[in-house]
Amino acid sequence: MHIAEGFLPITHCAFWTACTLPSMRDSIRQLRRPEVRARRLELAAAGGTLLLLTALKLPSVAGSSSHPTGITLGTVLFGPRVMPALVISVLILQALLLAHGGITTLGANLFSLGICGPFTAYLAFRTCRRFGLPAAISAGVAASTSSVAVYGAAALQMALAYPDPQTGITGALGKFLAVFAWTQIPIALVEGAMTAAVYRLLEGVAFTAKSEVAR
Amino acid sequence: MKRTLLALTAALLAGVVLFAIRSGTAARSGSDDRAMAVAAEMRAGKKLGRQPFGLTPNGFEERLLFALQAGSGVGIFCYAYLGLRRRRSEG
Repeated sequence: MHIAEGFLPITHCAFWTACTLPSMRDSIRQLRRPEVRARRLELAAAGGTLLLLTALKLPSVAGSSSHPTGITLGTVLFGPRVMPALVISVLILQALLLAHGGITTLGANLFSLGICGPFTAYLAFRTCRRFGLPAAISAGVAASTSSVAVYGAAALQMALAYPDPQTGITGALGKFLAVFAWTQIPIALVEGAMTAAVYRLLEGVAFTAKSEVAR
Repeated sequence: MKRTLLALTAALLAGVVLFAIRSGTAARSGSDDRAMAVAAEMRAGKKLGRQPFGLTPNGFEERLLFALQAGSGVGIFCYAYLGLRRRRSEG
């Protein structure tokens, strides 16, 4: 769920962009680490999953579309700090070629999809592992949780830009959450199942495909 | 067991891709109407402050581009998967 070009006021765009700059810098630094570079194939698998899942715009009852996030596999394999650099490449591609998302809203979309989502996935995965759940199941739960978190963050960004005249930001947040819940929650569940299956598949072939956070 | 899982995953992925391509909505300019509807409710007469950069694809082009993106994702994933499998078999 990307925020469209021109949807946010320019001050909000600048704010969200400023919020993402330190993470972007850190993410590029993370990608240059020798441990990450040595696992290029796993990084490619994570990038491929991200490309695939963000392209699956599923039709919704409301006549619009939503899509899975695809960030969890990369988060589980490499940690959340690597993800902003991967996510921004997909966001730029979609903004320029598909008119999906936008250049002015890049910072806001990166914040929700590249920072908020991966860190939620990381926390969810770690919590599940602490409770002794298998890694694949934990990855699935993390995917569902992060998908909901991304949708929540995007709804909050829109609510901050368009507060309800009567009920303020809280009221607007409720409205934005409600209008997208129909599609985002089923998508989150499907994404969880898909991520668990893909993780299980990778785990079978990649002896290094052990979660960074699970060790 | 592994083969069954692989087949199920492939079937699931293929099904979702086909479903998305076949019944993908003609979402105009990538913007989501639901968000605009809520925003218009908060601020009457609200229009997008800026149009998307470059050419806006029509419904068919958009579906095609999304299919290309999904195809690239599948291709990269398969390349990585096969590479990892080969690396594992080589020990």
